[in-house]
Amino acid sequence: MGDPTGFMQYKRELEPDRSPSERLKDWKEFHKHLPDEKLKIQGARCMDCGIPFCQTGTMINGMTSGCPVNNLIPEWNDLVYRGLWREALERLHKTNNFPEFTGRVCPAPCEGSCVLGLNEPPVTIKTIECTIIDKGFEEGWVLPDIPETRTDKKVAVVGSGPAGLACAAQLNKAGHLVTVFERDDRIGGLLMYGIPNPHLDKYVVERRVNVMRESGIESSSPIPKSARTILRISS
Amino acid sequence: MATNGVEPIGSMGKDTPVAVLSNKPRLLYEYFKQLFAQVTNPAIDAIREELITATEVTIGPERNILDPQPESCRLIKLDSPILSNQQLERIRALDNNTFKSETLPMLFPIAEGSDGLEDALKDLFTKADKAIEDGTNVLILSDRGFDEKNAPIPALLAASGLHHHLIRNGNRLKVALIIESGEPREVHHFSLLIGYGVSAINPYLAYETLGDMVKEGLLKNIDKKTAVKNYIKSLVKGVVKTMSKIGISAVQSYHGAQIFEAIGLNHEFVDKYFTWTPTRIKGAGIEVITKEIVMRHESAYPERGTHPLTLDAGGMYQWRSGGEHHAFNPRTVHMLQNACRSGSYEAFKRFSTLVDDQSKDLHTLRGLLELKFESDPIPIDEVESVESICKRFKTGAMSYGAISQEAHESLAIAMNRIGGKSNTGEGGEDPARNIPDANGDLKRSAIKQVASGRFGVTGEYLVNSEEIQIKIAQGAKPGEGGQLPGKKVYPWIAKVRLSTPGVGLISPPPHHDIYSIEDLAELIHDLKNANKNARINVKLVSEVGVGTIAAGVAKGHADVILVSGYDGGTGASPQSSIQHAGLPWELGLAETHQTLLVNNLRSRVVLETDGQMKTGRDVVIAALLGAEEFGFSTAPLIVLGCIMMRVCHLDTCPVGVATQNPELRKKFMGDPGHVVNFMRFIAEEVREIMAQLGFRTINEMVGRTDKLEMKKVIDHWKARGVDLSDILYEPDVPSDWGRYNQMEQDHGLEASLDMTTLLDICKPTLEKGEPVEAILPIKNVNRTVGTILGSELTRKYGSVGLPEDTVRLHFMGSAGQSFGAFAPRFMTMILEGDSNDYIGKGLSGGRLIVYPPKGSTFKAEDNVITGNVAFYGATGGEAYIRGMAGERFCVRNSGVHTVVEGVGDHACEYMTGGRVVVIGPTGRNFAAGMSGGIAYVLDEEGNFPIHCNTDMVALETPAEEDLEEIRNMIKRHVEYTHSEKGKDVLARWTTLSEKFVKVMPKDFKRMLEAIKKVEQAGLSGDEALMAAFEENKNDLARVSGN
Repeated sequence: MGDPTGFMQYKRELEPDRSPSERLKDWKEFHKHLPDEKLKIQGARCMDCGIPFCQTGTMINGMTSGCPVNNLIPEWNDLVYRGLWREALERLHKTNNFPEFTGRVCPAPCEGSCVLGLNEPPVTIKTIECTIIDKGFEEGWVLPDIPETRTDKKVAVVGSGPAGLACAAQLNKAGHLVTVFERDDRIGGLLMYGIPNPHLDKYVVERRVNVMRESGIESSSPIPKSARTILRISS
Repeated sequence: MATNGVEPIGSMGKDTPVAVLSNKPRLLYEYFKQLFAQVTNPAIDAIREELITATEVTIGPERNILDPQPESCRLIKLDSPILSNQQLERIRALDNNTFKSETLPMLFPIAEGSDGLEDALKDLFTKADKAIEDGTNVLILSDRGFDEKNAPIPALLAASGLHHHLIRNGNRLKVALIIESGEPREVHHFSLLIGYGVSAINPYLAYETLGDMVKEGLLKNIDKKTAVKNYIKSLVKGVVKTMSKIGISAVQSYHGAQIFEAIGLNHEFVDKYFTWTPTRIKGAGIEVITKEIVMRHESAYPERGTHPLTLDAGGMYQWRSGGEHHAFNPRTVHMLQNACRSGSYEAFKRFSTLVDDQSKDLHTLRGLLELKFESDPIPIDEVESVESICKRFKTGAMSYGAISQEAHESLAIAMNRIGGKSNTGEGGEDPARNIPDANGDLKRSAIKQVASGRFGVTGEYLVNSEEIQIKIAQGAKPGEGGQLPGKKVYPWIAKVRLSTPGVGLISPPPHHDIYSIEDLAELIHDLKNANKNARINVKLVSEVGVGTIAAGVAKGHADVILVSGYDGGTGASPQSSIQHAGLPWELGLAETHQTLLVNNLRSRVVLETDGQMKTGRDVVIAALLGAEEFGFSTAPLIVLGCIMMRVCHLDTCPVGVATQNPELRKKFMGDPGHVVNFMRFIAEEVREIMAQLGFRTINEMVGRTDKLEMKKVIDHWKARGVDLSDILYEPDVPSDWGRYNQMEQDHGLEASLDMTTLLDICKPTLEKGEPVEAILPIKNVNRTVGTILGSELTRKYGSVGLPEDTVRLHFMGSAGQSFGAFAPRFMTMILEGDSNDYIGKGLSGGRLIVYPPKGSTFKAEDNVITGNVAFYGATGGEAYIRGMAGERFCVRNSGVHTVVEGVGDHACEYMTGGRVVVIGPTGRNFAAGMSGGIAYVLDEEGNFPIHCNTDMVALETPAEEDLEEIRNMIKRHVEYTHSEKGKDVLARWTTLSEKFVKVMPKDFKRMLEAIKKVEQAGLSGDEALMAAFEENKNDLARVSGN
């Protein structure tokens, strides 16, 4: 942990959202990222707990407590504090296929169970997560993940929502040939058609789908009767 | 390690399973635990007494030591057993008349499994034999060249296996073993390799990792060369520290010494490759070790590409999702806090069920045991009450300094409410806590700990106790001392520890008044004298042989023996000690109970245990294994709000439990009532289990291992071979031998001079506070003279209730040990004769005067008049010694002003306060670890600087006011003792005053100057201390000590 006393020195800070009057004019996202230098300080607020409740991911008293995908939150908080963005991205991708989605629309039970939240405002985990991945895309660090060997086994994934896409990505990494079936005309399911643009701009979804495509995706046609879109992920 | 050259520090102990019970593949090293010294041949302080340590190793054939020849000296000398890559290559290139080296591969074909591993080992041994035949005398075992098909043989297995093979065939001395491996990285690994016969190790992968970390920017502001240098430095320091725990000072003595105990390895495996290593619960063998290698190898060479490029978060030191199991994890912490805060027994049952289930999933040794319930349980109303059971509960020794005032007092209040006992820890206690609050709560800790640092151990402190605990070792770091860095010595901490704010405090690894079991018996006796109503408790840590030690402790008249588990929490301790020293309490407790029983000592002592106890089941198993009192530490802290941050050592505890920072202390949310709930819940649960087992009282159940059995089916790939029958062994002893505490120890106080004579003589003082004066004979059988008298006076009048000199006793003859121990301010004791060791131990304000009998013909200043370790842990008073003192004079003095005419080695070690004037010669290592107080030495020969350890002190020329102080002290010395030497110094004052050297601790000086500065700025009292402290706290130039 870079700064053991960070949580005592710094206050929680988020970049203010775009003003409502401005937001009226378009459908664009209204949460904004803090500048890097300020975000590093937010990373310094992480206490690197002996038991990081933020990454627990269990049900306690009927409530989700901590990150359900067990993101290694204290680790990448520290890496961001130290300015090691690329390493932070590697740690983030280790547990999370699509941090740009969770970083935008997840209700952040991690922050709800952040230990600092016992008596102070919690660490800005969600915005740190989102910034790491957006920076990763900007810097060109998010590259197609093409498996070295193929098992030649075919898997069909029905539905291209976040679960289907995550499933497809993992199976592809394992070397299987995965086909994602989607009934709508664009890939993304809930991400594309469920969540409104101000929360999750569609370019974010497309950005990820493109990377997956580059990992071996080919649009397939003709479209089978049962589905309007077929994605084939193959080598 | 790479950044600062020191081993990382951790806190809150270890709550992960031992290697054999873990589901994760663990390195072979983790199946071994470091042994450490308790009581006899104590641990040593390798930092402050560095002059006796040596890290050099020699490489080459060893010859007949009984017939030394010039060739015997033809050895390669290395500064340390850790080799850089360059050094290794130079050794590898050796090929001349004297030295010839050969590199043998330490690899095996992974596909062939354990047979392949055994064959590879056999092959390695054959190759080694052949090489030796060909004249090779340096063997390098290397695991370079591993690949997808060939995995490294664990370096420890290859090295120790070969070491024992060569011992068996008589070739061992002909060759030196060197390891070139990517595997060893931690201090414990290197200690093990050296301990099993390796002369030097090259951890190439660790070096490369450091290089990579520098390149990646994970290590900043450092180049690879420096990082590697620092890393090696910290490894060597760590190995020396590991050795020092068992009292070994030279790496060459540690080499091949096998000071380890295996846990969870079977006899066949150990006998073959680690011959003579104790292993008590059997367990894994070559197949499991191979499987662990395969698991690691597979993650390095995965079949499928799902494996990410990054390493897994192991979760050994902190909890991680998917990492190693921790008994305290998000669920258990939450459930425990929730249950105790809400006061709901049902919620507590949910917690304890979860913990017990975890335990049964083989996370603890007790989890492998089953309780044999009666088919016909007794009614629960017939079982001993909750109140009665709670009296057997204690909280662990956590010092005020390690934890906050709020947490410390909450524990004390809670334990006093339920009739249990809280423990001060090593750090004194504010006398104001002896007075009950308006609501009847008492903040006084019933157990007063006496540890090696003796901080705040005054006569008054001891009198205000029900039990006095001598800490020989502590679970998290047995065999080690401790250190409270200056930045944590806040003014209020300094006050109860009788030291200076902002100045670091060091607890030595050994008690300097305990070098043998007889010495321990003496300390037990001294403390019993200091408070005859208190039980004396000796705290030991579980390891092989602890039973024998405990038998000695019982014969030394301890009333209570505590066997602590290895997993206890800690404010701060090196990670290698937290993880790798000590054993689970189940093993130590069972051994101790059995040993005491077969020697018919069990009924004379109370046996207590602690170490990560959390539930009623834990307590019941402890009782069945032989314990009758039980300690809890981590769990009550969690109840008070601790969330296992494991940052106690950083003073940043965000819930105000383990911090002194005033801002963070405000966040403390604990309540003594919650701890009361916890203790009562445990007691209730104990009762329920007792009813099912058919016991009405705890006493009936002590040592009844027949009510326990080993779990029948253990379906765990590692734990399958574990066998706990040694733990469950029930010694066959006559039925009238007591199995639990049934009688009191005979401390022999009735025969003491105090009881036979002094109390009678001093009746006027005791009853009316009137002055008394007397002249008495004394003999060396009269030990601890004046202590009972002093304690009874203190009990009645407090530490300052009578004027100075109220009691004046003049003894003639040779005093036994501990003359005048803990004597209070209003006592003056004159000894005309001489004294044994430990004179003025813990002196608490009294005045001791020693001079030779009138008419002696020898020169007093040339002869030793008092024994070793005088004024150890003294907190105040005066002493005038006409003659020389023995070794370790004024060690851990924090307040005595004394004049002496010569001292032995290690004088003023760890001193934190007071004044010492030496008007004669001194021994070596003067002022080692001295962080406070001032010593003045008359250096007539001009050679004092070479005798002084200047790591923490500066040698200065005394200023005018210093000389005035010295002169006044010598004047009093002459007045009290008629010292010829003193008269001579005063007579030649103008010349001799120039020869005084002032020994001034650097931190102490800085702090005094800071205080002076803020006082000049108009501050005073506590405010001034706090301002000076704050200013000094952030001063990075300060001496760190470690």
